[in-house]
Amino acid sequence: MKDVNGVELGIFVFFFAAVTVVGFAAARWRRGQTLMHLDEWGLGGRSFGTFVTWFLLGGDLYSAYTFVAVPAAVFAGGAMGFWSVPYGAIAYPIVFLIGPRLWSVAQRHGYVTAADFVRGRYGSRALGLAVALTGILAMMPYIALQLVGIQAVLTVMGVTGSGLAKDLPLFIAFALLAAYTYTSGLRAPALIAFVKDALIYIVIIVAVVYIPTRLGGWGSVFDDAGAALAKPNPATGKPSGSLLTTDMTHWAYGTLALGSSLALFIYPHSVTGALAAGRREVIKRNAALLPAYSLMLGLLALLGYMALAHPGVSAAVRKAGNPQLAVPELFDQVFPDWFAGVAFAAIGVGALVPAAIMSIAASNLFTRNVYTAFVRPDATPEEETRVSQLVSLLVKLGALVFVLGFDKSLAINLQLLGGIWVVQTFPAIAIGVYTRWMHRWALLAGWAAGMVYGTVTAYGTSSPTQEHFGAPIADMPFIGRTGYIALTAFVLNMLVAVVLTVALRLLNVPGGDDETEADDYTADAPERLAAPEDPGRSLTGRAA
Amino acid sequence: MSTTPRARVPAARRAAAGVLLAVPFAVYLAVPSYAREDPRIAGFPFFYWWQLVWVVLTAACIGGSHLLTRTRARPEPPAPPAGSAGPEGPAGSERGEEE
Repeated sequence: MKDVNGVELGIFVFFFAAVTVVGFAAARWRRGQTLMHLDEWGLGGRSFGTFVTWFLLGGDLYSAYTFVAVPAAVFAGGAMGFWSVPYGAIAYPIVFLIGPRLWSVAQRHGYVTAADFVRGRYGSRALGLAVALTGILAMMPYIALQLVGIQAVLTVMGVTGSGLAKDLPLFIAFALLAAYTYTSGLRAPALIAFVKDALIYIVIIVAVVYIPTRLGGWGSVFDDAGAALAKPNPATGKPSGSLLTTDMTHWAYGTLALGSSLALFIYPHSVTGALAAGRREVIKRNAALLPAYSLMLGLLALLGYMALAHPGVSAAVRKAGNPQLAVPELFDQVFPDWFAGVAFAAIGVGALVPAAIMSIAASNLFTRNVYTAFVRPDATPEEETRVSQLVSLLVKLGALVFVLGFDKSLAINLQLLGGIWVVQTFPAIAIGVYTRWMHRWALLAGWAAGMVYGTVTAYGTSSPTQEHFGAPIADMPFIGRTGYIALTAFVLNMLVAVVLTVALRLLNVPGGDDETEADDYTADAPERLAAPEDPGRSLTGRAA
Repeated sequence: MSTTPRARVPAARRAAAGVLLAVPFAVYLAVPSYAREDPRIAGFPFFYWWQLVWVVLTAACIGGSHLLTRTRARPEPPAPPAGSAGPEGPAGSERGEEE
């Protein structure tokens, strides 16, 4: 394709190497007595304060999703791609409502995963298993999205080839990630998150201030992008998008935002990040602070318009036929080489941190809710941790399957596919922290209905480039508009769960034992020494 | 001076907190209400700046809801140094170990 850009690649490799060193060193950071316990490896000792938790949970929104997939969606479809801004806003009232309660009950009962909670709340290993398997499945396309992001950066830097050589750099990056996740557990992404966010903030601020000045200001960015979107797409003969949502797309826009916001906090990696917090208050504060990330997400999304408005960039992206290249191409053409290298490092590291948290979350789920629950009920903490370490490697292999096997023409669809699945665990988890009214078998049946409907419907969608799993939106029955499949499936899930709960209660089918109590949901951590980043916290507070 | 860890939040405050949390949903899900080009601000069409402004307002809504429903008034202030009773001494002596 084109030559390798030595300066960009050099800086990229430098940051990557530095992050790898930090990742391995993280095993020693704020170390507990042993790393061979799932609380330590998988939850960083449950000790993080507001500051670390902000970075850890923020890793969720600031991933390759933000930097590559969202701008690509805006580049390709205009206003429709902007739905992730309302998503990033309305997800946080939901976090505020369920996060603190889930944290409290988890720390009272030593739950490591959301599936642990579901099993304890409903006295049902089967329901716990359903939640765990859904979480693991949903993590894989999301991790795959991170890999697509790294791939996009490598492509623009000129690191391309054919056959195995094409994917080799990606495999190397991935192997490094796997290695330090294996040794350091959650401490690695938590520590790297500082480096990552520092890089990302610098790049974003420079990008949203500097690039519009090169393109004649924000006004002309929007005007030029709107003109570019209005041109008919050679493949379909219709305009590829518009600056505003239309009567056809209002529903899709709203349902994508709402469906995704239901998913945000119950994704296993969000739960992992939240349970690693040291105090209940930390979650509440973060629910109010984290929308700041969404503000940046919105500005980043507009990089898609800047790419459209820049003739050289949009031509290069269209020639390559891969909208994921929009932001990397923009950086490559607008920034001097050295700063483009920094920006690419930010994207690359920004993809690795979430990928690490996600693989840890998925392996915690497997260990606790599949292995310990069904295979080895008497597994020791050491054994649990060893299994988790191994599974974290397997999950990454699963993600590679999604990368190699799925259409990458719109990477955001990978995340939306994961969302269709994970939202089906919302009733058991999020409604479960408030009420035990739902019956365990009704929840299981609702989950099954939602999963089957969602998967079948998603399988049936096609796009110009792919026969199946082509789009996350489909016709919504009874409403007659196109909407996010996750939300339709969720409504079906809830209907089944409510109707069956009423029926099962009338028939007096045993509901299982609830090992939690009402005040578990509002409990705070037992008093202990202040975490280092909270030096001001009183040490002489009331006894728990 | 009850010893239960959680005093009940008055119903009115809980209701107000619930309304604050519902507002962002009402704003964002009414998509046709903001799918407009004008008025522009700093070059941003209404559709974009309206949604970005509401990200900040959403954070404010959640923060407000948090303040309304906090059961512990505030983290206990550090114990005053011995001997230096504050200017309003009698009030200070009311403060016990428990809230």
